[in-house]
Amino acid sequence: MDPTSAAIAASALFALGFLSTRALLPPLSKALRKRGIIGEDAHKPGRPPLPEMCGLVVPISMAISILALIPLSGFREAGPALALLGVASISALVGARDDLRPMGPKLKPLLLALAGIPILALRAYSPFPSLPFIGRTRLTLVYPLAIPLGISVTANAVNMMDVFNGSMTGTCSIILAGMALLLSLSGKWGLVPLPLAILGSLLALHRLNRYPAKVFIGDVGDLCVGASIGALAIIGGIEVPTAVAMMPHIMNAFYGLSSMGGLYERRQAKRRPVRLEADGRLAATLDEGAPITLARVILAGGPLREDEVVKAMIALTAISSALAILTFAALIPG
Amino acid sequence: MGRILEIALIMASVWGLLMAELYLLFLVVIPIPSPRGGQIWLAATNAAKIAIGIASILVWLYFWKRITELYFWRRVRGRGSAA
Repeated sequence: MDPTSAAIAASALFALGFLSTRALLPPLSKALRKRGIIGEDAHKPGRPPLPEMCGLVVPISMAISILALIPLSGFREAGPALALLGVASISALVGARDDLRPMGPKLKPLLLALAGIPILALRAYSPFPSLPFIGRTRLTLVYPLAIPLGISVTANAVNMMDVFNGSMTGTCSIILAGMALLLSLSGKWGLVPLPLAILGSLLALHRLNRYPAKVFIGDVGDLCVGASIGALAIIGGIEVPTAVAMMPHIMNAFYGLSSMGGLYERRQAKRRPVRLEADGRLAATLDEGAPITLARVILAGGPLREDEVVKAMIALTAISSALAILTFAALIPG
Repeated sequence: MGRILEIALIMASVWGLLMAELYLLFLVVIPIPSPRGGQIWLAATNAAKIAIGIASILVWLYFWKRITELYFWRRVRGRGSAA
């Protein structure tokens, strides 16, 4: 696909992702509320109930956009696009199962690893990833084994970041925009519409999920977006820069894992890293046994409103995305 | 906000150390030739390279954990009224 056709396809998919999500979200949230699929907004006084699992709209919107891209690209991008859709669908199913019947901290990453199968089955990867300073390397045996692990890690890291209104949608939108730029810089024009299709959907979702949220995304949306970011990094061969762009997410997951001493579920953490003050602001707890999450590190400087914490998370993701572009420059051996 | 700059500095330090370690590994450690001929020397050299690689990853993770913990507790105790 040439740059002009890619720009047209990317704009069309971005619009399709945005408009389909915007059209589907109100009836979906109404239906979920009616069925009693609701969660409490724990960081607001009075803990208002909001419809859960509204992130279900992301895989649906992705299916609409991606199935439109395949004929638009003259079927040249069918393999990578279908692999991405397969990863998104499997991870969304795992997320939906976790939303309806919560899973343990070991079963969920294991099931998410299965979401890597479509990439392997459709051979939508290159076992010659680019590493900083040396460029392309040959990892024909190790690389396919690392794919399920990569999908599981990115999905869980994004899931662990969805702690405040708009924190997942805001930070992942920055990452997806950066990925579209990285794919353009590496000349993979045919793949550029894929992150933009998800970005369109996420921005429409962000309008209702940002502070004060009217809908919750749920694991169905978190895991779908996280696994899709991992899949795009593999399909586009931009694994290392994407990992750098995801540094706030990885930091958040790593802080939690290292302070809790292993895999854990948020709902299992008895000691809370953050608490709600009487004035509605959030503050870091002084409990030495509570996980040191990114939010807790941000709040170490003093209490903030929920939307201010999310703005800090988005700003840090913008900085990490700039570092990702620098990392991409280091991929070209000197 | 000052706190964003401070955390961004931690992030940039972690990224900088990662890049420095990758530079040393890929351009200094991996190209080191086996000091003598023969399969045993070759295997020993490769095992030493893997050990250096694993050690550098552990150093990087430890640096990341320590710098964050130091920042967090220093900031919280400095304010003294977070709890």
